[in-house]
Amino acid sequence: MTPSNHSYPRLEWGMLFAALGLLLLGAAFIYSATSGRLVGSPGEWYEERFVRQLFAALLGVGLAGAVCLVDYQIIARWAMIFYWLAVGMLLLVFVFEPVAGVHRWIPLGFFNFQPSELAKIAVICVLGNYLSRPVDELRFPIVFVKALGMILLPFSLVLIEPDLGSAIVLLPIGFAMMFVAGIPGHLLLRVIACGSLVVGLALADVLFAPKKFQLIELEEYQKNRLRVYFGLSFAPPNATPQEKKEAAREQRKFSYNIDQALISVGSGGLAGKGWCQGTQNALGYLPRGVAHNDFIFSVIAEEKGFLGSMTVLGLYGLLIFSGLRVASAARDRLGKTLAIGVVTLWFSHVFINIGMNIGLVPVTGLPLPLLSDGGSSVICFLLSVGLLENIYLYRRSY
Amino acid sequence: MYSINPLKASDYRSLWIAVFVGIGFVLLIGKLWYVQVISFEEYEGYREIQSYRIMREPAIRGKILDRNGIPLADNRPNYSIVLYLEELRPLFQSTFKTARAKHGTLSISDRNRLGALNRYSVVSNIWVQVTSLVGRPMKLHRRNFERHYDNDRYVPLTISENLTRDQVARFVEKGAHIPGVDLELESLRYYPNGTMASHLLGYARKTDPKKKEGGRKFNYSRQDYVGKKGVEAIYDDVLRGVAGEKAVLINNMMFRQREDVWDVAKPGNNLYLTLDLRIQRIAESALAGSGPNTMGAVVVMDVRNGDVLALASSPTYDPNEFVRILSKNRWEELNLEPNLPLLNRATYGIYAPGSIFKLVVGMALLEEGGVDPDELYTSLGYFLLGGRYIDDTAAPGDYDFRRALAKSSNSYFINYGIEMGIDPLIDWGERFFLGQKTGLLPGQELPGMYPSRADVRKGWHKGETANLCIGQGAIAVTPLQMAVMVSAVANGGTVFEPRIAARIEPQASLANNEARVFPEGVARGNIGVSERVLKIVHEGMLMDVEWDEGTGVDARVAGLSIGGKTGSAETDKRIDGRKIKDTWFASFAPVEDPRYAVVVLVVDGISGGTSCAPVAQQIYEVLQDLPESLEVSHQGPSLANVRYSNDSF
Repeated sequence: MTPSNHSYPRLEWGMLFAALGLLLLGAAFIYSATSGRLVGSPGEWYEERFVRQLFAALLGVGLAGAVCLVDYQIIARWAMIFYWLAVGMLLLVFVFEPVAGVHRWIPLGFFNFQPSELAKIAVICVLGNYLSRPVDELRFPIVFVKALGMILLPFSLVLIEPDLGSAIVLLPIGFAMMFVAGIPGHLLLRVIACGSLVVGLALADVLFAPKKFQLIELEEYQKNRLRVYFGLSFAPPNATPQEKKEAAREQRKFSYNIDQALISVGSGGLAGKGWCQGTQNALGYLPRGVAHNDFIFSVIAEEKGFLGSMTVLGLYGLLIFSGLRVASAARDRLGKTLAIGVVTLWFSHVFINIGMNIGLVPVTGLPLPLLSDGGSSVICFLLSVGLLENIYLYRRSY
Repeated sequence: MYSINPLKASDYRSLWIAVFVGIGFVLLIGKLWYVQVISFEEYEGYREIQSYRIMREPAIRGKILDRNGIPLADNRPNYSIVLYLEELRPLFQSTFKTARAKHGTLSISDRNRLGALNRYSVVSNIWVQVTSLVGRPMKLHRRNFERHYDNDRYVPLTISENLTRDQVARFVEKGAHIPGVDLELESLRYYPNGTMASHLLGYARKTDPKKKEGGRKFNYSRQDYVGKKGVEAIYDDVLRGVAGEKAVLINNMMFRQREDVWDVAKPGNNLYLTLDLRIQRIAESALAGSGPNTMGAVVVMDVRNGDVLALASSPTYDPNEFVRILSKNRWEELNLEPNLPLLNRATYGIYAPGSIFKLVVGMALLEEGGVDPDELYTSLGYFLLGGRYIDDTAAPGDYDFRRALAKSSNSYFINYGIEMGIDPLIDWGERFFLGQKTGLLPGQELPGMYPSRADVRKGWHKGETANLCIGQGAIAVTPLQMAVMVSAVANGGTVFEPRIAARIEPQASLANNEARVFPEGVARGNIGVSERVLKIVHEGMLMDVEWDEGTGVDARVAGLSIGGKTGSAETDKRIDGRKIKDTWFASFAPVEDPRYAVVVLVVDGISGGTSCAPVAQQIYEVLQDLPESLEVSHQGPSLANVRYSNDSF
C-alpha cells in the first residue's frame, strides 16, 4: 500500500541487463566455439547449439516472467511440493540408461533435462521457507539438523549420479542461507569444522590410502581430477616403471584439459584475438566436447582477452551486486534468505567454473550461469533471476 | 532512492556474504590479470608451439662413385606439381560469395556444406586443369580432398608426381596462370647402371614416415632413404646426411601462415669406391656369358694393395627395383632357390676351394715339407689311402712340383701332404686368415671354415689331411678370401685387408668438411714365403696357363703372362637331384710384375679350366688394354682438402 510507487523502480533493471548481456554473450561464444569446427558439419539450423541455447533462454525468460506473477510468499508455501518433485526427478534419472556412465539426464525427446539444476532452486526455496520461521526457533539444534537434512538428501542423490560439482555447490548455498537466516554461528562453525575435518580425512583416504582401506569410493576420473589439482602422481607408490609410465601418460591426459584451458586464457592477452579467431578451440586443443559448456570462459578469454574476461566478471558482478541489493531490499527474512541463496548459487558457479578455467580450483563440471551451453542450466538460472525479481517486485506490498 | 550500498549496515550477516563474494572476485580478477596480462607471453609461446607443425626435410643422399668418378648410385630429380591451399583462400571466398548469392537465407550447417562443396569444386577444377595440361587427366576424389583438407591443409596438396621432362616443360610454359600451383622437387635414389655391381652397392629404400627418428616426432615427414644392403647400408651414416626441420605456423583455420626453417638439411657425403666400372662391366658380362643362368662370382683385386677392382655375383638384380615398392611376388622370386639373385656369392657364399687350395698346400710342402720341387713322383692316376680310392683327374705318369701344379695332380699333393702331416697345413691356412672374415663388408660376409689345431687334437684322420690337400673336406671359402689369397701369392706374401671404400667427399665442393681417405694397402699379415718357393709356385701357375697341357690354358691372353690355378670341388649340393661341382680359377697377372688378381667361381660348372678360365681370359683381355688406373685415394675435385688419414674409419 505505498502511496507513491513511482519513486521505487518496479524491477531490478541492473540484474535484467546483466542477465540479458550474459545470455547474448553466451550465444555468441557458443557459436564461436562450435561453428569453427574443422571436421563434420552439424545438421539442421535448429540443431545449432547457439540456436538451441537461445530457445532455452526464451523459454526460461517466459518461466521467469510467470514466476513473477505470484508473490514469492505464496510460492514459498508450495516449496515443499517443489522440493519433493525435484527429489523425485533426481531419483528418476536412475531409471534411464546412463550416458557416458553417469545418470544425470531425463530424456525428453527434444532435449535432455538435468534435474540437478532444478534441485538447486528447489533446495533454495524449501530452505528459505523452512528458515522463515521465527528467529527464536532457529536456535533449536533440531531446526538446524532438519535444515541440514533438507540439503543432504538432494546432495547425496546428486553425488551418486555422480555429479560432484552440482552436489558440492549445494553446501555453500545451504550454509549461506542458514547463516543469513539467523541460525546461531557456533552451530554452523561446528558443522563446518567437523565437515572440513571429515572432507580432509576423506581426501586423504581417497588420495593416499591403499585400496582396501578406502572407505569412500570416488570414480577413478574424480580421483584423478583431485590428483591433478593437488599435483599428485597417478601411480601407486610401489608402481613398476611400466605402470609409472602409464600413469604419467594418463596424468597428461587428465591435466591436458586444464593445461589447454590455461593456454587459451593466457594467450588471449589483454585484448584477445577476436571473435571466432581463437586457435585453441578451432584446432581442437580445447576439447570439442566441453569448449562450449564447461570451458566457454576459456573461449571468451582467448578471443576477447583480459578485457573480455573483465566484461564477463563485470556482468556477473552486476548480477550478484543486484542480487545482494534485492536481499537487502526484501520485505522479510524469507525474501532475504531466498535472495542470499540465489546469490550464493550464482557466485559458487562463477567462482568454481572460472576458477577451474584458470587453475584456481580443481576441474569440476559446473556450468557458467547463463553463458555455458546447456538448456537445463539456462532455464534454471533464469528461473532464479525470476525469483529475485519477484522478491524485488513484492518488496513493499505489505 | 537507489542505494549504491545494497546492504543495510545493521545486517552484518549479509555483509559477511558480500565480503566473501568480494574476496572471490578479487581472487578471480587477480589470477586473470596474472594469467592473461603478466604471463601472456609465456602462454602465447605455448600456444604458438602447438600451432607449429613440424615438417621433416630430407637431406640429399651422397652419391656412390667408382674410382674414376663414374656414378654408381646417384640421385634423380623427381618433379611433382603441388597446390598451396592457403593461396586459394581469396578464390574460395569469391566463388563462395557467387554461389551463396544463388541461395536464400542459409543455416550455418547449409552454409558449411556449401562452403565445403565450393572448396572442392575450386580445387577440383584446378586439379583437372593441371592433370590435363601434363597429359594425365585425372579426377580429384572428394573424399581424398576432404581428408587432406581436414587433417593436413597446411601441407601442399600433391597433384601429379613423377613428371617427365616434357611434362615439366609443358607445365612451366602453360601452367603459370593457374593459381596456387607450384613445382616441387624431390630427390629419388637411382642406380644409373642398373644391375651393375648391385651386390656390392646394395640398395637404399625409403624410410618409414611413421617411424620416429631419435625420439623426434614430426607432424609431416617427407621421406628420404636408408641404406639396407651392400655399401649403401655399411656406409649409410656417411651417405645419409642429416634431415632438416621446417616449422609451419598455422592459423586458426589450419592454413599455413608462416614457414620457418629451423634446421637446414645437411646433404650426405659422396663415397668413392676402389671399384673400376670398366672392369666390373667385363667381369659381369664374362661371368654371365659362361653359361645359361650362371651362378657364380668374380673378384678382381689389385694385388699391390688389396683394392677391390670388381666384385661380381651372378645372377644379379636391379637395385632400382627396391627404390620403388617391391611386390611380394617379385620379392619371393628374388629369394628363389637355387638362384638366389640377392645372395652376394663373392662374400656371402662359401664353397670348397678344390685344387686352387693347392697353392697353399704347395707352399707348405716346399717350405716345411722338405719336398724337392724337381723330384719326380709317379702317379698311378689314383691314390689309395688305407683302402680308400681317391680319383685323380691328372693322368698317370711322372710329376715334378710344377707339372703337378699345372696338371693339378691330386696324387702328388696327397702323397707329399700326408708325408708332411697336418700341422704345417693348418699353420699355412692361418697365415692366409682362412676361416676368418676379410672385413670388407661387415655384416655381409661369411668367414668360411678352416680346421684349427684344436680340431686336429680332437681327432684327425689321414683321410682328412688327404681331403684338405686337394681343397676339400673341412675347408670352405668365399671367392673374396681366394682373391686375397692369390693376391698374397702374387705380391710376395702380403695378406691385405681388402678395401672397397676409397674416400668420402662432401657433396658441395665449398663445404668445410674435409675429404676423408680410407687407408690404402693395410697389411693384415705376411705369409713369410721365401723368394725361391714363390718363384717355383709362380712358375707352376704360369705353366698352368702357358703350357698346352695345363688345366688353365683357356685363360691364355697373347702378350700377357698369366699365372693361374684351376679348381673343381665335388660337393654334396644337388640341383635337380644331381650332385654339382663348384669350379674355380684363381689367377694373377702379369707374372713378372704382378698387378691384378682375378678369381672366378662358377657353381655347377664342368671344370675350372672349362667353365672359369675363359671368364678370366675375357677379363684379362680388358685389363691388358686398360690405361694405368687412376690413383683413387689421392685424386678428386677437393684435392687441396684431402687429409691423409691413417685411422681406420
